[in-house]
Amino acid sequence: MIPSRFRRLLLPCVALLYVLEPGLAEAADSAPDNRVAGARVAKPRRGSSRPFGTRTRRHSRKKAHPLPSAAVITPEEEEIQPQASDPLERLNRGTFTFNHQVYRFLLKPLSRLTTFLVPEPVLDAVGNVFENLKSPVRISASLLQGKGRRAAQETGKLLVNSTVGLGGLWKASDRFERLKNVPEEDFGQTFGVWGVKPGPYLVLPVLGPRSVRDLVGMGADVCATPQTWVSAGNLNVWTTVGDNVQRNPERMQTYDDATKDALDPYIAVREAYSSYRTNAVAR
Amino acid sequence: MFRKPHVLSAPVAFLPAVALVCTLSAWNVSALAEADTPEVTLKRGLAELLGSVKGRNNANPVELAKRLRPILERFFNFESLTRRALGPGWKDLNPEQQKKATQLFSEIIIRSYTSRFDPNSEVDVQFSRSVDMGNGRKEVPAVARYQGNAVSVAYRVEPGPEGWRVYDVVIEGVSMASNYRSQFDSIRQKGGPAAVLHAMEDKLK
Repeated sequence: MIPSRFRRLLLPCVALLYVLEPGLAEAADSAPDNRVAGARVAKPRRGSSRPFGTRTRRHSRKKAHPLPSAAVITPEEEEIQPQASDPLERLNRGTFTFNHQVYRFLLKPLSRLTTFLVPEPVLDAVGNVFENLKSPVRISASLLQGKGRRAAQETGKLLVNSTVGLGGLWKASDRFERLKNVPEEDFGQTFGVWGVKPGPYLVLPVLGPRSVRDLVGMGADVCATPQTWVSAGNLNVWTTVGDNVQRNPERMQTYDDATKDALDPYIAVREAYSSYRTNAVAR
Repeated sequence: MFRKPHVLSAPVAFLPAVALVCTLSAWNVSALAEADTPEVTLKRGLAELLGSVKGRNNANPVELAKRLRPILERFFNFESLTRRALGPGWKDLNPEQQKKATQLFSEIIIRSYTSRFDPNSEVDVQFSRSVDMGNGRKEVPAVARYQGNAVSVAYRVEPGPEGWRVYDVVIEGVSMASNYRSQFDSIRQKGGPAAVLHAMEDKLK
């Protein structure tokens, strides 16, 4: 039973809540409309139905106005995505042209030779082994991003493929729905999750597009790869060569896909790379 | 003696009929509601596309493009896609040039898709529930399995008089409209709006 003095207070409190709550609800409701597809959705805080970051000024009684141009915006006026920062465009374009010739006269013929000489199942099996060897990179990157579930999935994949999959030759983990199609993590993405901006866009000789953040991340990936620290013969060199030869046909295919129908192949690759990496950080 | 019918007997007698009508109408309503969802429209479009190329193993890309164009035009809003791709450059074109730009750009997109499409390969697309993007537009996330690869795709659709139509496709986070807009912007800044049309014509030669 509520004492009568509290009962008297209850009504004004409920009325006050009623007045304040619509403002909060509108803020939460309007959030999805402004959300860019692929952007991370704020999760509600524990014990609260309101997503984090949607708190508005408590005493604001004004009705939230819709975006001024939301209703009249035409497709061509839509802001789609900011372009990649490219202060070194002249230098990058030069390297891009050089790479194009390297791909055309060296790597594409090598890719054709590889696919001609090595049967596809063998190429896939070799690729699976190299993918398995990089598991520690993905596990540590997932953990550093606070993605425990993804780290567990990667650990599960490593265990299943190393044992049932005969050292990674067979991707046995694909038989398990939870271990299938796990998004790959690396240190470039980890830095992105930590809030490090991509920095200027770079085109590296032969290696191709990178952001400064991903270039540093690539160094961290190498450090986290176990064979880097194994001094048995030239194991590190051979695994790197083998991995690149095996991945070359796929890389050449990706390059062709990005440039074949482009009006400006340099910009097409730059924008595709930066959008892809932005998406990889967000997912 | 004539037995007076029970007051409830007549409605009870109609119950099965009423139930049947209710079930049928409910089914119709749910079928109509389902028909309106972007996911259903996309599934139908994909089935139609795959059906039209089935068994045409030796079709060359030009023939394939001709065959697929009418179907793609029904499910894609090429004008909307071109406007988004051209961005501010769209308003610099006169109506005739805008029409030409739409025609050229749609040709580039259709050729691009058909040149990579292998009618022999199995395509499996799993659509997820659409996400509201505001202003009546929706995004339908999907996972496409093609030639042993799983690719994340998002179809952005908008309502039109003939139902939902695709105005952008985002593959692994790379938006088609956004990617082409960057290219068009660069060409337009260097050579003006006419250069954009020339670049597209050159590409199709």
